[in-house]
Amino acid sequence: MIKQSQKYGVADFTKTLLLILCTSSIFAMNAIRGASWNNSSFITMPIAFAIASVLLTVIFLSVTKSGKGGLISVYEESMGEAVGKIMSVLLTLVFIGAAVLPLIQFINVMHDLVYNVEITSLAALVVIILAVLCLSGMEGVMGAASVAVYIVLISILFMLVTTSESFDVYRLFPMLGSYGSAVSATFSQSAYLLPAMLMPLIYRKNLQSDTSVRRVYKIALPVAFVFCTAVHLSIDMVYSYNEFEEMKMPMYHLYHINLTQLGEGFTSRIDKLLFFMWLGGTLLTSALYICTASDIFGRLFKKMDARPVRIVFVIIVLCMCIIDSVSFVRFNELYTVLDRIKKNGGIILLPIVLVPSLIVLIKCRKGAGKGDEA
Amino acid sequence: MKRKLMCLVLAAMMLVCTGCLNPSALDQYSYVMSIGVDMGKQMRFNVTFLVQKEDESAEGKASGGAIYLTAEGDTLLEALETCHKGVPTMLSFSRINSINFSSEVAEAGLIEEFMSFSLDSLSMRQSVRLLITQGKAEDFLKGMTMGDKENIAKIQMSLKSFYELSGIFSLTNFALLIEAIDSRRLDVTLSLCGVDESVQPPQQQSGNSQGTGDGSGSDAGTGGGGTNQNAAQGGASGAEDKKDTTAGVFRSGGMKAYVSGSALFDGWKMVGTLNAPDTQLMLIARGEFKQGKITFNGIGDGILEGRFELIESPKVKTNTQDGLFAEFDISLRCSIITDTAEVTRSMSGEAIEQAMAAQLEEGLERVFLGCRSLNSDAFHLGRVFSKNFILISEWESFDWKSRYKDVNASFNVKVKLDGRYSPGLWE
Repeated sequence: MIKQSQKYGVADFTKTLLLILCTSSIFAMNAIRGASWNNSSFITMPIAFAIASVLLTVIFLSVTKSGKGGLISVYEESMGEAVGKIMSVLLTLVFIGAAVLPLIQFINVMHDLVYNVEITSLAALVVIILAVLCLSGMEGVMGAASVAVYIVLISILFMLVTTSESFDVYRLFPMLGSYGSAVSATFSQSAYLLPAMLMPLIYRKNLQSDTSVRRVYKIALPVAFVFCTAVHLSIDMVYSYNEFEEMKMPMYHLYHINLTQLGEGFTSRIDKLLFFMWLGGTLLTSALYICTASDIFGRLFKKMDARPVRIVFVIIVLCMCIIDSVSFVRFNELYTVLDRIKKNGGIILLPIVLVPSLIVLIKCRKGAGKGDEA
Repeated sequence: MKRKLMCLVLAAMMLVCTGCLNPSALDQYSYVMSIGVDMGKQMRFNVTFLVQKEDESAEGKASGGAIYLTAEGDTLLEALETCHKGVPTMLSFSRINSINFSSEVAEAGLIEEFMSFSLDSLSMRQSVRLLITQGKAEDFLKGMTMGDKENIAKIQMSLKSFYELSGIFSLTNFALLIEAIDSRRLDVTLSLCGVDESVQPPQQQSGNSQGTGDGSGSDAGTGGGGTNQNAAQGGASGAEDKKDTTAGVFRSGGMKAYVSGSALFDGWKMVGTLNAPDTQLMLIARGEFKQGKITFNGIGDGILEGRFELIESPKVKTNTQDGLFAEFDISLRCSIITDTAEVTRSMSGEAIEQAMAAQLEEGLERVFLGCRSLNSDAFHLGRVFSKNFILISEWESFDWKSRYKDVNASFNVKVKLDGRYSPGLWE
């Protein structure tokens, strides 16, 4: 059941947002990183974070000005009911896409480096866990996320500290492929961060007050900013600019590559264990995105039971992962389209969230102007 | 309650999933610890697999036994397939520690051809170390026998410790080789191994009084005068002459296999070697020297040995305006450990520091020029020069390797004496 009156604690939501921002920034970005980004993400990531935060401020202002509803009510208020619903559906799709990105990478890495089995078998394994998580609802997943965030962040830190011997500043140079690609990467990254950042606004009612929403942002965003920038900087100091093209998952490869300058011992065998910790965090992130998508969808079509919607979304997410990972001849064209969406789709999100917010703000300003004249 | 339940469900499922997919038992595998690659007679390569042997006794576990499988093949996988026909278990490469190429293979530039397989396909890590043996790599692997037991601890553990204590050889893995080839801003130097054929098994040693340090003890290896050695030697020409020595010094007891010095590369191709003292100088310039003993012959009438360590990473200033120029500022701390002529009584500390610095500067310049003449960027100067570039296209069009021969370098060394005598060199 969708319980709009259900109350979410600030601490739990903060930890959840932190987990989503970190896994999206560190693991999902790698899936779309490719060669074009080179090793400039230590520059583009903080800028992307700043851009996303500015956009978020605009959206936050529009939501607070629009009344007591969440982000969805801004759509309907600014663009009318019909267009507002279409925008909400697009936002649902964005969240489904956000759930797909980190999973693609994990399924691929599991297939290529951990288990020598069919992608579909791995997807079947993942679908069960994802379905169980999604069926437990937003509150249940948030509870698990608020515990898992410590495990995931500490395991990432552990990985970086134990491989720090391999860091070298010269690998940060030359910094950029081209200025154009750096700008494009920055906007893509900010767009991919935005869905996670929007979640407190979507659940504004459940967080009970704008003060709570602000508190969530005040803690989660700075911590995620510092953590993600540090991780990207570390990764860029390990791999030379031309090594990302064929890199499946830079974080996972850290131990494989470590030590040029030499490390060894027990830590070099621990990568698979850490991988499963990150996989757990990623599954939770995907589940949270799916729950959010299903909640938006449920509110839109007044569906009181979100569970069937969640199951459908889980299956859609898995199908997209499989299509991305397996070369089905029949789906070649679809694959090309999905690949384009994956690489540039984040930018679609910007107008979806920004235009309605700007309209609301302009309307409010006009209303305030008329009030002053009267 | 719900939170805890969720965590339990998640954790349980994560644990379960590891066993469900493609299950396999440990005893289905034999673990390859090292690979030796030589030129083949029948086919392109002769590949030796050093496989970890399960020992039942506690003593056996300590020494780490091994068995050897050898087969020829045009590729690693071909040789592996041939070996598989004769072993009851699957060979696993997930624990592999090193790949050892013979100098013949490396000088022919065949490492690229051999390493063209996908490491992931064999679950091999990119951190696998690369070594070069002057002579046959198979002999090196089989030379790791002490007493009547194979001893793979050398390549498993001791190599890194010894590297950090002495700095007499470089230690490089496959990841750095690939980075060097792709980015073209450095050339790798690989550990140089050898086989001392004069070393007898222990049962044959009784009555054999041939001792260490006999003969040309001060000419090479760890005992040599670090700054007085020849510059980079082209090729491995001295290998045959030194077949019955350990890097030029007579030795008995222990293993036949030893590691000392570095193999210089220009891209994929081995172009020369550095002996142990010159390797120390190269590592000092690169900032990779942890600590080690350096010997000076020209200060006073005797031998002066010091335990050196870098105070900080060398600072390298570059100039690209009037030709390519690099200036190294190196600061070292030294504790004197041997002073046969008692120079520490006859000379002031400052005079000793200056004399040591002058010899080190001379040695560094000599080694640098030697490497440059072989077109091997062993000092990793490309890494420093690449910091002057923002765009990748600019760096790539700069074409570092074609300009490397025109690079000049100067070395400013400062030595700080830290107490006159210091214990703990080999701790």
